[in-house]
Amino acid sequence: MPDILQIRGLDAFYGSFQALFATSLTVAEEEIVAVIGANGAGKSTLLRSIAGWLGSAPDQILFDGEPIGGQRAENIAMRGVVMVPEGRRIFPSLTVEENLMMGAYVRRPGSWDLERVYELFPVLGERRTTPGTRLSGGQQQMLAIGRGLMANPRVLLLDEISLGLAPIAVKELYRVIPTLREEGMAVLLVEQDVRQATATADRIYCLLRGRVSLEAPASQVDHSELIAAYFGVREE
Amino acid sequence: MTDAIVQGILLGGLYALFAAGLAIVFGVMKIVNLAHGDFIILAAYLTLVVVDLTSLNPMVTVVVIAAVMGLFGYALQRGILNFTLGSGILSPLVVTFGISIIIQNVLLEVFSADTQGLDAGALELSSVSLPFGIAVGWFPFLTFLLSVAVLGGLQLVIGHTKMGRSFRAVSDDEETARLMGVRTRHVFGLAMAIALLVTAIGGVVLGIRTQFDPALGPARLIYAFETVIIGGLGSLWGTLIGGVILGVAQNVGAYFSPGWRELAGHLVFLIVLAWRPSGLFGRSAE
Amino acid sequence: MTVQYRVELGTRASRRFAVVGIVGALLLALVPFLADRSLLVSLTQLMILIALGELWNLLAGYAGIYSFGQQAYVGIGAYATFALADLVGLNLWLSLVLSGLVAVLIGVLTALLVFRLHGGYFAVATWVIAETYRLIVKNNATLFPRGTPQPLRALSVLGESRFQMVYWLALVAGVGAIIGALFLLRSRLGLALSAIRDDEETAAASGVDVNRVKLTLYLIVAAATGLVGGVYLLNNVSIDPDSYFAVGLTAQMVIVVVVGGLGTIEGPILGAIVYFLLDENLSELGAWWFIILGVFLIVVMLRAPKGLWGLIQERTGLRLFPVQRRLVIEKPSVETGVS
Repeated sequence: MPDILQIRGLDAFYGSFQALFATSLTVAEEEIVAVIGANGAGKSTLLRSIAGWLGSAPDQILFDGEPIGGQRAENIAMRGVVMVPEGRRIFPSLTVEENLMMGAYVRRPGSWDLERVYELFPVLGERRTTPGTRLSGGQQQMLAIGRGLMANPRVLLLDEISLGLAPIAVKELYRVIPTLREEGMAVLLVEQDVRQATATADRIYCLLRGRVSLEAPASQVDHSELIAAYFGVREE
Repeated sequence: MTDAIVQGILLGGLYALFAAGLAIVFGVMKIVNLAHGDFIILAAYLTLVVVDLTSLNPMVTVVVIAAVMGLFGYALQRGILNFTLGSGILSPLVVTFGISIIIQNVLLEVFSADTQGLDAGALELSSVSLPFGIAVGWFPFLTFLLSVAVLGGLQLVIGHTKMGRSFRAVSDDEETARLMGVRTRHVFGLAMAIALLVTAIGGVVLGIRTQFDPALGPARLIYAFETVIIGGLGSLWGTLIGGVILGVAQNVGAYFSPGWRELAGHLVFLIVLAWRPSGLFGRSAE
Repeated sequence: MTVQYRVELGTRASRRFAVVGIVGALLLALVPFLADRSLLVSLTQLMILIALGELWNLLAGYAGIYSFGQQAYVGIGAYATFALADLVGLNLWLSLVLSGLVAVLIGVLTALLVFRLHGGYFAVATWVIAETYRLIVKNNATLFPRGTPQPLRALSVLGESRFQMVYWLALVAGVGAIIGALFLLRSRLGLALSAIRDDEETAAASGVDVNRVKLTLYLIVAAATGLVGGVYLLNNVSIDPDSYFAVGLTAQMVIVVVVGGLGTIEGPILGAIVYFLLDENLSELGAWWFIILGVFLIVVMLRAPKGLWGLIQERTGLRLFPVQRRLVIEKPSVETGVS
């Protein structure tokens, strides 16, 4: 399938600190790509650059072949590149349902609506009038993902959805991800949990100190190669 | 003394209108608009011009004035104030302060320092009888009802419209709201437009209630601010109660001595600040 | 081989300027012998403005404290001087000094109330508190009898030479504020302030007691502003609450600092001089002068947020009152010797 997202030689800076060095990766339509790496490797920075929270040069990020690097976050969302941010970032002043409705603010064509999200995550339907941040961590993560889906994305960016959650909750969330592929959506996810990432994704990239240290189909990842790519040390 | 208290309650409605605009701007953009009071006075002067040209009753012109000020607010936010955002607190303070100076002196230059008044005709003179043998003027009573209606309308807009949701979302977390496609520059403009629209209604009422001159702005900013602090930033109804408390405090103070009016209000404000800085109905500490 | 290094504070330009500055200050001290009374009063006002600007700059430019209520301390300092000298009958100079103390005490009370707020809300709250003090004085029959401005009768003790003496006092205040700010910023407290300015959270994590540092600075500035308020009274002779507690006083401080350059010692000096010159020449325009001022203020804040001195510093890298320490490494010395 053709590439829907291409990152070419992306540099990212926080002030004068460089977090990404000429990073390149691709995501094809209906593909699930995982980016793994140690803390501070630049994984979240990558997603933030794509989503428009961090600036970049136009040609460094291509969506459907078109340069979108450096555009404003709201414009990128309108194109269908939607991020579920790290830490959930649920709106405390809004109820569960209102949070989901904010996800649909962008009004893109597609089949995701409140009904479908409640079907996918029934607990959200049960607590639709509860203030968003009064849910448990796992439920908030469902809400955040549901909110992202409401925008009918073509590429869904998931930033560390397992953070702070019990293993059972993480498993439940990840069960849902492959079904999204059947909708024609591509998923680019950043994950600390290496096992979960390799189990769910089609391909994985590993980042080490702002650079891509490994790229492989998930089924063919060699254990010692992974250690080397993840930690930057060679096993003798 | 009862009369002073009743008048204070009615005055509270007006103060709540003043405060609502300030609270919206602070909630969504996190700016304290130091020119807020001057916008109230500007609305009064605008009404004066329209009334002079059309000989209409000022209350009839409220809709037009509110709309004009709303548009002005949108233009001001997108044209100037949006550029003060994102670089700290000083820029919005200094720029709105500059705007305050400009408005006061333009009004001074165009209208002179003479006090002006708006005449609402028969409305101002007649009185209405309330239970417990209290008689109040029609006009103060009507404007209190108007304030409640406007606040109720605002509550509906903020609670149940797409725009209102975007205000709340941006107020919570501007960065994340942008991830949902919220065009924040536009939303900021809308928030200022709504704020000035509501403020303008207060300005027209003020112009009818009292004599006004170009220098009255800063004191109104202070009353609006005190109302917000007393009531708390959580709800519009809290703001109404805050306004009533301030209005009553001021009137009770004036009852004992005219020089005590403002001071009584300040003292009540300071007590609330010392005892409960997030306000009587506030959600989160400032 | 040992590497010699030293920590330097001054720059070549600043050392040269120090000489210029001292000569300049001495020349300024001679002005009363050359100038007529009205010029002297004007220059006195300029010195006061420089002092007030430097003080507001310390709060806003280093501690992130944007107070729109500094007029409270001008008024309190002035009224304390007036009350102690005229009503209680103390020596004028003693009254002036004690007024600084009174200002600190009021500062403590104010801080207790207002430090719970931050940012814009803090700014307006300080303004409200200043208004509260104004109204208390206004309603007090002893301080403001019959609602008329009161002259400072104790001033007569200075006799004919009072204009010169007040000028010198103001000169001391202005120069004192500059030197005081310089030494404050070079001290340990100043180091903490610079850290807070750069990144408050990190400063706190590094062990800086942010609240205490801010409070200390606020009280120092309150005391100094109170003293300047006393000098302001000496220059204006008569006192009334509306003039001495006017928010316009803080407005002048803000304009001077923003136009001159926030966060530098040189800035407020430049800002005060520019504002003073503009005011002298344009105030006859009446309301138009203020409109121009408002526009100018907005343009500077949006287009040149570092002020005029900031622009100069960017172009030339000039630092006349440097407060940053630099590490200077001298040539390593080579030890010869046969062991």
